[in-house]
Amino acid sequence: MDIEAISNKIKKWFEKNSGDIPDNSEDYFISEYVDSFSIVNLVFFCEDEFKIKFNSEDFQKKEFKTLEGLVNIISKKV
Amino acid sequence: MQNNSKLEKIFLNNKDKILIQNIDNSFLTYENFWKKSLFLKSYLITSGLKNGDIVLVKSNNCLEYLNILISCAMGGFVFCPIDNQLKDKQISFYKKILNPKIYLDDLSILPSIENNDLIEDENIKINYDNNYLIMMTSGTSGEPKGMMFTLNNIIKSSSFFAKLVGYDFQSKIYHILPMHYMAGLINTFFSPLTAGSTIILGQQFSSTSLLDFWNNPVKYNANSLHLTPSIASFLADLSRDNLIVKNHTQNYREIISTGSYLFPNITKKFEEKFNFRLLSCYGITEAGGPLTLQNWEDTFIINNVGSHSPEVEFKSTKINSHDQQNTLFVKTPFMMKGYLNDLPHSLKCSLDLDFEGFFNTQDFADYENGKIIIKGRRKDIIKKSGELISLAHIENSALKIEHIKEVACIGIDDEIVGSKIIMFLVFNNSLDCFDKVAEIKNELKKSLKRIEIPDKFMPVPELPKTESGKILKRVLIDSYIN
Repeated sequence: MDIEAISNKIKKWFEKNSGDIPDNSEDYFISEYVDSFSIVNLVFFCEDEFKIKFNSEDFQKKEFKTLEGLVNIISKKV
Repeated sequence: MQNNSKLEKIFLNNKDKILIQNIDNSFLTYENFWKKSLFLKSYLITSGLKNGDIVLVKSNNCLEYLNILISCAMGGFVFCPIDNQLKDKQISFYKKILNPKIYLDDLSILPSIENNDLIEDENIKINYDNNYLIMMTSGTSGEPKGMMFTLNNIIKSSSFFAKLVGYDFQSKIYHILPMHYMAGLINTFFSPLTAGSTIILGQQFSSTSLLDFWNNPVKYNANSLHLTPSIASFLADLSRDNLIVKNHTQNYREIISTGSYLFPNITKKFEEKFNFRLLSCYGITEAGGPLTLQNWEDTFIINNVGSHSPEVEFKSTKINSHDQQNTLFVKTPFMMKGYLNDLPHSLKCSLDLDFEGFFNTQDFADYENGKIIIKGRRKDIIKKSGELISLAHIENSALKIEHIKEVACIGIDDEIVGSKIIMFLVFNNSLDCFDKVAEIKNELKKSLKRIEIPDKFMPVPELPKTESGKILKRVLIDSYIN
């Protein structure tokens, strides 16, 4: 799956669950696109949709907190 | 430091022990913490505060937060913590009704001691019967209510819970609960303090801290942890380093779930992930905080929230002849002084107790053989993620939005958060109602806290009502469930 396809799916998730899509490099935690409830859902969505498994290092990467960073992490796992 | 009693004695007896372990490797002994608090007490006095004045604090957890708490005890000031997520309008409301002498929303601006030795010991005479703490809660009418506690209430309640848990000088509590909650104040600050324990002051729990939650408790060898059921569930879902964390949790004396009922699925999920059995505790803010604690056997009995020490008395009884459930009543020696019913004019308190001096918890429960079995909660005030939320307050906010004609909120039991909020909406123009939901949600975000935003919006053509026009919430609950 290419980066654009991953990005589109995640954007759709944000649109559906947060009502809007964060900018590519925006920290979606700081901008409150996700809270404790929805971050769990986002992680489960990504793991199910792309058949991947995040590890704790992924969670601690700064790039995990931006849309383009998240897409980048996923693209290396698919 | 004089060996007077209570707080003074606790700090004196443990003066060389670490009270606060910060997650930047710095720490404060009981003695240094006392001196820092003393310094801040002097600062507050020079800022014009007098005995009985209110200090309103809106902040994330930090060392200064804890120091100000003790400074208020030293100076006879009344501490009032409010949620850090409150919006400007809500803060203005609190300022108006409480008339605080000082409002602190950035504790980093407080002066700090450069050299602890410069602070002279002072013969502090703390008055334990002073008004000390105001906790705000959602009222049934939608307006927040203040609850007043004396310092005596807080210290007695904290000592009670410390004994119930078994905190001692070897306990290292990882503190992540917000301190505008009673659990953040009593369970993870004052109780360990009264027992001479160490508090590892972590980042207040949030979506960001969830991602690397275990790093600090592992690094600083925590052996006691307090979570809410939601936090326990999130951790079980997102923790990935099972072996490291499983090894770490074996060092724990207890991991306690507080704030709302712990559903068996969460207990099971948490145990499978971390190889540790969560214990639940039951508490009522009005009654002074945490009151019971499960033992290991209790965790296998559904709805059993454990037992208590003899200082606290419970009874369960039917209030009306047509009641199907018993209502739980409690009597404690550290019950709040009362609700502040005369704000903003005075801090007069009132407390309704029954003829035997028991307080109605408003929970449905059975009380048998010293064990409490919770059956349910009244639904006009729901408990979501440990926080009491007034549905009336949410409805009032929604009714101010242009497109909304009528609104009704219900609470639906949820295994993870305790209760979820469902909002039924009748629009002025029902043709485009589905397009309006996102707009309504955004509007509500301007006036409500995140936790108060309904979890689901249900546009409906009309609401079921009684002949007198009262909305039949029971019908809404049934129709939603079915």
